[in-house]
Amino acid sequence: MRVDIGLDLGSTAIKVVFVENEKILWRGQTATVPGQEALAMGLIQKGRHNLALPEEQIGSLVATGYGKNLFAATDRQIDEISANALGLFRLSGGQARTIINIGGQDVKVLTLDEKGRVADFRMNDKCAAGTGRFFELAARLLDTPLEDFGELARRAKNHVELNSTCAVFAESEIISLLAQGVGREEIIWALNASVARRVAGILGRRQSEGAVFLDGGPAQNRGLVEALEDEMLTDIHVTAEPQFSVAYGAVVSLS
Amino acid sequence: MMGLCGLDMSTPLHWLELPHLKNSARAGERWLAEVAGLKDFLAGLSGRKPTRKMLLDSLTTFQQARQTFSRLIEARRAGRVPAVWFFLIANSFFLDRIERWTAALDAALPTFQTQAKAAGLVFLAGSPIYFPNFKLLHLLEVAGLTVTGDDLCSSERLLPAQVTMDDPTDFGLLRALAESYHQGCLCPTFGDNGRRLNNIRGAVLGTTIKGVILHVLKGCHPYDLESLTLEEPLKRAGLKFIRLETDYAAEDGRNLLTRLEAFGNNLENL
Repeated sequence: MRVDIGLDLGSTAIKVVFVENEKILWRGQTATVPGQEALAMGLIQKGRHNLALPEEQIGSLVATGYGKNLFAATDRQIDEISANALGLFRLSGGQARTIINIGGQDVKVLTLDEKGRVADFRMNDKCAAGTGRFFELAARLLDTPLEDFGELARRAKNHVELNSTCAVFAESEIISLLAQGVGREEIIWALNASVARRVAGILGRRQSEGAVFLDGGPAQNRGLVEALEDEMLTDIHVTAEPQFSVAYGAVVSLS
Repeated sequence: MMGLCGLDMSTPLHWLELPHLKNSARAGERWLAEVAGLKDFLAGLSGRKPTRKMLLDSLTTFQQARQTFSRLIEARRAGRVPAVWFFLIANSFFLDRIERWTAALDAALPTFQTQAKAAGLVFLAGSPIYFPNFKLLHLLEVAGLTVTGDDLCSSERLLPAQVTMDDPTDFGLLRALAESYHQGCLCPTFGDNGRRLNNIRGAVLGTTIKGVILHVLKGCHPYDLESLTLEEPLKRAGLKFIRLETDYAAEDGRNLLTRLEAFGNNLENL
């Protein structure tokens, strides 16, 4: 038995997967706060404990994500765009051709070739518009857990417009809508729609070819998936636990 | 008295109207008139009337600088000059007397030795890079990418094109000078500028360079506007292309590095 470990040190969450023969045996995550190396090490220890995994059965440890250089004890490092492509292509059974990844602080759109290699990619500039951070801010303002966003958006009776995905301007807009008596459901629906428009803007004039997958933490928001399907006029696929596909891809890079 | 853009308006100011077309005889004539007007303005300001000899000497000095700089460009292509050194040497042109800069470069050229074989060879196009804002150059190195050619006006394009001095009269020399800054200029502010794309193609296709990075500095919009006209044909030619928009602040460093690392991995897939 040889178990490889993939570590994704993201801007808002640290994710770890333990993988044996392409199968994820254990996964765990924790919020990113100062002291990322200790947090990551703690997660790895937790995984080892849960799997009762002795030292000699651990294969390689591959790190990816913004904080990959902060974790010294790695066998390999890989950028998160390449890891994302490798992981999701494998998890999708080779079906994925377009990947939309919404991370804590960025949005990436990847186009893959038939072998799963990155043919092209786009990413937002320094602005955090339409990213996971944007959703977190909205969740605080609306006093609503992120996991409820999908269900609440479905209950929206009216469609209101949120003009900005800028985290700063959107805050003003949300407060203004609340002051006007607009319901949380309608505002959440508007948030999802505005992020979907932003993602479509990054995709630009290019038509998505083949199966389109959404991953990253916000992919768990079913309302966002539906908004993207409406905006892009195509089916959007989401894997079982979309926040772990980049960490999984780090392990896939070993093969 | 303070005036436009904080300038002391008592300082003599001469406006140059730049042409927006290159392949137009009218634009060329207008630009020649502008250069002649600048000559008269400088003569009035300095109290020295430029002679034909002064103009010829100056053109010759620039030609010599260009010839020496071309050898540096070739040395970088051959992998003998690290990218950051190249940009520093090019930048220093703006800070020194041209004769001294040329002599120093001439003396330094034989000292450049062949470097270890570099991977991730790229061509850097787009907005100029001036010291100390070497953020992008630093990130390129961290990402394992090596710039072996560029078309930046702060770098490979810093000197005007070679002058053809087939008419040694005052007018002929002035025309040659004007044409070198007009016909020879590849700035995207020109509307009819197919030569920009052709220049990149010529510098990249058939070489070991597999990727083009377009640097768009916020505020230097012509490069942003032209990005689509470069991206599509360069990708069709089998090259990898990435457009990076940034500014003088350091805060987008991680974001840029992520993209550059992925771009480097993409080059390896070719």
